[in-house]
Amino acid sequence: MTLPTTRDIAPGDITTIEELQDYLYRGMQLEHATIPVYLTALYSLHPETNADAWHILRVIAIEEMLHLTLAANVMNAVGGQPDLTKKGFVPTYPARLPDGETDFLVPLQPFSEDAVHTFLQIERPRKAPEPGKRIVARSRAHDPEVLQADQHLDHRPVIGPLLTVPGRPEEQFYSIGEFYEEIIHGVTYLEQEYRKQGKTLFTGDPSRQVTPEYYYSGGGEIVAVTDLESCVKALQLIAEQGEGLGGGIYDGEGELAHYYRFQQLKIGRFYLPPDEPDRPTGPPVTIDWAAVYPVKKNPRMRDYPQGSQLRAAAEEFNKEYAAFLGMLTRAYTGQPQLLLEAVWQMFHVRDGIVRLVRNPLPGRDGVNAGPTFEVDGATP
Amino acid sequence: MSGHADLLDRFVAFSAEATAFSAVDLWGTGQAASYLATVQEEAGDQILRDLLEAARPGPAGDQVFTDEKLGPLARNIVKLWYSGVWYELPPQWAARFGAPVKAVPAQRRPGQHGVAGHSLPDSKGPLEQQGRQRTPARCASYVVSAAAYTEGLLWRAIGAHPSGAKAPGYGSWAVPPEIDGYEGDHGKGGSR
Repeated sequence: MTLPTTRDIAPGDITTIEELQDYLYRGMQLEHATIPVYLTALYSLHPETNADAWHILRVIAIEEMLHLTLAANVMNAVGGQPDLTKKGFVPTYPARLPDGETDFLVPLQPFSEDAVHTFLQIERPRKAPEPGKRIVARSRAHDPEVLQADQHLDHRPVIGPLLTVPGRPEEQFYSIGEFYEEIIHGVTYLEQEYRKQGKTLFTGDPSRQVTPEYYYSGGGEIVAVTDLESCVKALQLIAEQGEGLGGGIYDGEGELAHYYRFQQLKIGRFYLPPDEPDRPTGPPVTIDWAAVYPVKKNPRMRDYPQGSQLRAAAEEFNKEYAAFLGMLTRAYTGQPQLLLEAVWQMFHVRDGIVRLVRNPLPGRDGVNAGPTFEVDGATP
Repeated sequence: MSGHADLLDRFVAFSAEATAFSAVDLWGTGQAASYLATVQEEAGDQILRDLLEAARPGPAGDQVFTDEKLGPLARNIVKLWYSGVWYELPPQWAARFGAPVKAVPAQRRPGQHGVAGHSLPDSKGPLEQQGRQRTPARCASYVVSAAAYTEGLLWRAIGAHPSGAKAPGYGSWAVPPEIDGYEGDHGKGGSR
């Protein structure tokens, strides 16, 4: 997106700083929501097998963590309060994302062809058919799986679909890309209006910014957000790493976008520059679909027998994950140095997932346990 | 439940008793099937079943560790879980209690020890069914697989990590080790 310099831009859906902060909270929620999904698939792979899938999933999970941190930087720059510990911040899985006017389900599940299909749905570049169609009414014509999930109270996501319009639950964004376009439009518009009054939108405390010294080897350059230019840069990085830049397969930094990384798993071949979308010409991708722990789809605490060691392990994981989100929240609200320690915590999270997925579920032949990510109510 | 799955469950239950780690922890290493296959291969299926039978909960259960026949095997299983290493059993013991003789010695090659978890034709021994190579000499001690070393219980027991694997994060060595279930001499150690 180019920044308008001469003519005023018209207001979009975001007209106040509070609305912008609402949007940014949803952005952080969205970026985080993909992480449990990718980590469950990543750690379901048998060790020492599936190196290609391992690397692709790992890089993408790390980039989602970068996106979360970039969104926190934008939130801080406009005086907002990143909070990953709010009830409902972590969705109940299967979560939901928009696909045009309908939703699709995003389950926690082991690595599989189904999982790759879902990953492609998550990252798929999708432009609204016309500029005015960025926000659409939520259609009732859902796919049967979504309708079925609706009927089972236990599976209903507590926060509803992830990309509804703040304050208007019957409307949603056409796609993740359109959601970020709206935010970029919103910050540009708001800054224009603030400047007319001799003020700026970017009044956040700069010491809250996560800068490269606290964020290293993390899937790309962290952008400290202090003005409109750095803000747009941070938001574009998030959107482009997912979908690619301007219809191409690479982002602005020349890295393959997430959609095309995952597509390599589906097609079975790596992309090489200057490949065109959908036609990779690199070496073959080797996948052993069977070398995967058979993790139960969307595991919940109630799947684990009361009083069992396994239940205790699943609970311990949720507490640890809740503590991790608490630590990230402190890191994003004035103590960025905590991100260095958060890395250690991430290894605990990894070990916790690995331990669960290797455990057979008692009484369920051929089905293994998995992390439930039910953190609301899990006291760290 | 199939016979093999039942044997694996009993092997893990015995191992949990013997190592003082929980069954969840042992399954969590991902090594249970590979270790069972190792024991079957190195000591023989029957003697393992004898051990599991003798070690059933009860007043006599602990005595397997001092038993002339079952003791060395029981202790070897503990060491296996802690270190990922199969230690050579005493030759006198092997001669007396009749551990199996290896039919097809083959060169062990690094990087060939991944656990595939598929059943292969019965003509292959338990180790080959796990996708691994046989040891060249029957009486050697060896690391069961690359993953076995990193999954050794000893690392968790001392609150450390295996050198060269499972990186704990830069600078984490500057705080006291965290040991599961141990609060330390100076209150809660570590950062959690």
